[in-house]
Amino acid sequence: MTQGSRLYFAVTLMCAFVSIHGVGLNDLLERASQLSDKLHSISTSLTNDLDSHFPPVGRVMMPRPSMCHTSSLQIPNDKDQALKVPEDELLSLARSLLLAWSDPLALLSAEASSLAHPERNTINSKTKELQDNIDSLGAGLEHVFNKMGSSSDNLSSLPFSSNSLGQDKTSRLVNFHFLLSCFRRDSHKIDSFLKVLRCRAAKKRPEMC
Amino acid sequence: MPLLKTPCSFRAVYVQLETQKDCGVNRVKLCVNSVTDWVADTGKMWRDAEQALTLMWLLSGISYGMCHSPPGRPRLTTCRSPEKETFTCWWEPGSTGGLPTSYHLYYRKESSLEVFECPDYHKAGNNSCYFDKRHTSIWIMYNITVVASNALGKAYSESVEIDVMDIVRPHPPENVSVTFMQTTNSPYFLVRWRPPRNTDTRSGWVTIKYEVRTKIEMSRKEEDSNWESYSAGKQLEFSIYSPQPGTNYAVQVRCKLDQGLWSEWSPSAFIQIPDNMSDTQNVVMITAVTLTVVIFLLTAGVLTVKMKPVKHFLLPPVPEPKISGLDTQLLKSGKSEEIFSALITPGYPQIAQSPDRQVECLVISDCDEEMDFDDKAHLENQKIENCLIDNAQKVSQNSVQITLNNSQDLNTTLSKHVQAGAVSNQLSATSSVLAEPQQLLHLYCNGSRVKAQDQNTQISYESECENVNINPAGLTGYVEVDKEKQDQKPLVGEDYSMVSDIISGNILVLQDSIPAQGHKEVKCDKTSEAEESGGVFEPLGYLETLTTFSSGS
Repeated sequence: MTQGSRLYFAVTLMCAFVSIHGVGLNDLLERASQLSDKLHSISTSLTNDLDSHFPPVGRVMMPRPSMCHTSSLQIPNDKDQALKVPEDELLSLARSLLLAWSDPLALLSAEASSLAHPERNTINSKTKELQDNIDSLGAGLEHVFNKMGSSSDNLSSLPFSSNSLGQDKTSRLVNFHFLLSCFRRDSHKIDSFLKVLRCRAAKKRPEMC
Repeated sequence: MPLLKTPCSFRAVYVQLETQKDCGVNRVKLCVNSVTDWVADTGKMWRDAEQALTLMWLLSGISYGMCHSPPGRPRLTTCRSPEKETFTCWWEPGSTGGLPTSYHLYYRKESSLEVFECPDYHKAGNNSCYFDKRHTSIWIMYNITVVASNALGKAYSESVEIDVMDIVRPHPPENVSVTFMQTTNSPYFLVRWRPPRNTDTRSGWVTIKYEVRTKIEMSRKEEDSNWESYSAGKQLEFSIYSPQPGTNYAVQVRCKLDQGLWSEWSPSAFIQIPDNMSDTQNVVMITAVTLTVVIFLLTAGVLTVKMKPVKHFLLPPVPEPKISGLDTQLLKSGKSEEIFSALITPGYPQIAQSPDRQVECLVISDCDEEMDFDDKAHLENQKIENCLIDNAQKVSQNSVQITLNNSQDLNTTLSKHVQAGAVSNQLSATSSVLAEPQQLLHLYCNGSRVKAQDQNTQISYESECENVNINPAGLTGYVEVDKEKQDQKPLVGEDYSMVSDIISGNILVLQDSIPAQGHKEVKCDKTSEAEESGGVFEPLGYLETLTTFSSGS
C-alpha cells in the first residue's frame, strides 16, 4: 500500500471509530432524553385534561397506585440509590418500563375515542401522540443499548393482562385515569434515569447535565 | 332566674352584696368586670350569701368551660421539594380552643401500613415538617396527616397524598448581575446568575432550565411597562441586545427543574443604559439610507432616460426574419398603400420608358358605381368608368387611363378600351394622384394569368383575362407606372428591360379605397399575341401595371 492509501485508510478507520463510540452515544442519549421529557409532559397535560371534568366519585373508586402493573419492578427511589446503579442496569430498567407500556397504551388509544368525557378529542389525539413517541423512544433505546455494548440483555417482563377498561362508562373513565397516572409516574422514572445516563456519558461536557 | 351571660374571657368575678332597704329586697350583684347583672332576689342575707357563692362558682365554672375547647382542625397548605432530594410540608393551625395545643405530623408510605412521625419540626420554621434525604423517597405516595391536640382533645386534618415528583419547585437563582456592554455596532447588556443553592447540577439527577425577564423602569410614569420574558435554557448567562438608551432596566431570573414548577422570581437587578450610545449608530444608519435612496433615484433616472439602449444592452433583441422590401414598421402602422408601395416599388422590374414610346393610357371608368372619395375632389371631374371590352363604347372622357409601357402589343388589345390620347395630360394629372397613393388594389398578371386581387371580394381573372372582376375603386386616377420607381431595382433582381417576349404580364392594380360596391367584370380580349395578359383594367383608380415586355416590342 502506498503512503497515501495507508493514510486514507487510517483516517477512515479513525472516523468510523469515533463515530461509533464517543460521539454517537452522547447524541443518542440527548435525543432519548428529549423524547422522554416530551413523553412526560404530554402525559401530564393529558392528566390535567382528564381532571378538568372528573367525577368526584371517581376519585374514591380509583385504585391505589401500588396496583400499577409496573409496581413490581425494583427501582431506585432516591438520588443516592440512583447514582449507585450501574449504567447498563439503569438502561435496562428504562427499557423494561418502556416495553411494559406498549400494550397498555394501545388499549388506551383504542378506548380514548369512546370515553365519556367532554375533552375526548384532545385526549384521543394526545394518546396517539404518546403511542408514537413511545415507539420512537423504544427504537432509540435499542440503539443506545447496542452502542453501549452490554453483555446481557436483562429486560424484566411486566405483563399487562387486562384487555378492556371496564363495562360501564364510569368505570372505563376511572380506569383510564388510573392507567394514565401510572404511566405518568413511569414516564418520570424513565426520564430521570435517561438524564442520569446522559450526564454520565458526557463526562467531558458538563453542559449536557 | 334571669339568664346569665358572661363573656368567656373575663375571669375575675366580683361579688358585691348590696342591701337595699327599700321594699326589703336584697339583691346580690354579680359584677364581672364592668358588667353588672342582677342575679337573685333573696330574702335572707345568709342564705343569699350562700346561694350567691354557689351561683358564682357555677357561673365561673360555666364560663371556664365555654372558653376552652379541643383544637380546631389544622390544614396542610403546601409541600415543596426544592431539589428532588428533600421536601417540606407546612400546615395551618385551626383554632386552639384556648389551650396550649401541640401539632404532630404523621405519615404513611404507599405500600406499608406503618405510621411514622415527622423527622424534623424545626428546620423549616413554625408549623412545618422537614423530610431530609434519608426520609425522602420519590415515586412513592406519602399519606400525610397533621394532628392538633390539647388538653381537651385532638383534631385530625384532612389527609393529603403527595408524590415527591409532583412537588418539585426550586429556589430562585442567585447572584443575578447585569452588565452593560457597549460595542460599536450592537450594544447589549449581559445578565449572569448562579444556580439556586443546594441544587445538584452535576449528576444529572435534575436539569435546571432558566427564564429571564426584563422591564423598563419608569419612575415618572404611573403605570409600569410590561415584563418581557426570554427563555434561557440551561446556560448561566443571557444577552439582551439593543436596549433603549437612557432607560433604566430591571432584570429578574427564575428556574425550574425538568417538568416541575417554576421558582419565584429572583430579586431585581437594575441597570442604567447610557444615552449617547446611539449617536454614531444613528448617523451611520441615516447616511446609509440616504445613499441608498440617492443611488436608487439615479438608477431610475438613468433607466428612464436610456431605456432603449439599456434594454438592448441587457436584453439584446432577437433578430427577426426580414423580408427584403417588407418593413414591419409599415405593417404595424396599418397603411396598406405604404406597405404595398414599399413592397412593390423597390423591387419591381424596371420599366424603361423610352420617351419615344407611346404611352397609352387605358382609361377605365366606373359607370355605375358611386364614388366616394372625399379626398379626390379634384378628380371628380374625371369620372372613372369601368369601360372595358363591353363598355368600350361607353368609354367616355372621364375614364381611368391605364398607362402601359411598351404597350405596343397591348395597344392592340387595349386600343378598344383605351382611349388614346390625352395621355400626357392625364399622365400629368395622374401624377398628382401618384403623389398621394391611397389604397391600392393589386392586380397581378402572372404568367398567363392576370389576377386581380381584391380585398373584399374575390377577384381573380384568369389568364387571358377572361373573367375579370374588378372592384371599382372609385378612384380617379391613372394607372401609371411610377416613374420614380423605375430606378429602383427590380423586384426579383431581374432585369426586365430586355425581355424578349411577353410571357406574362404583371399587372398591378392599385386602388384607393375599395368600396364593397361591387365589381365589374372585365373581359380581356385575347390578343393575337395571346398570352398576353394585357389587360387590366382597372377600375378606377390608380392602376399601375407592370408588364413584361418583349424586347422586341
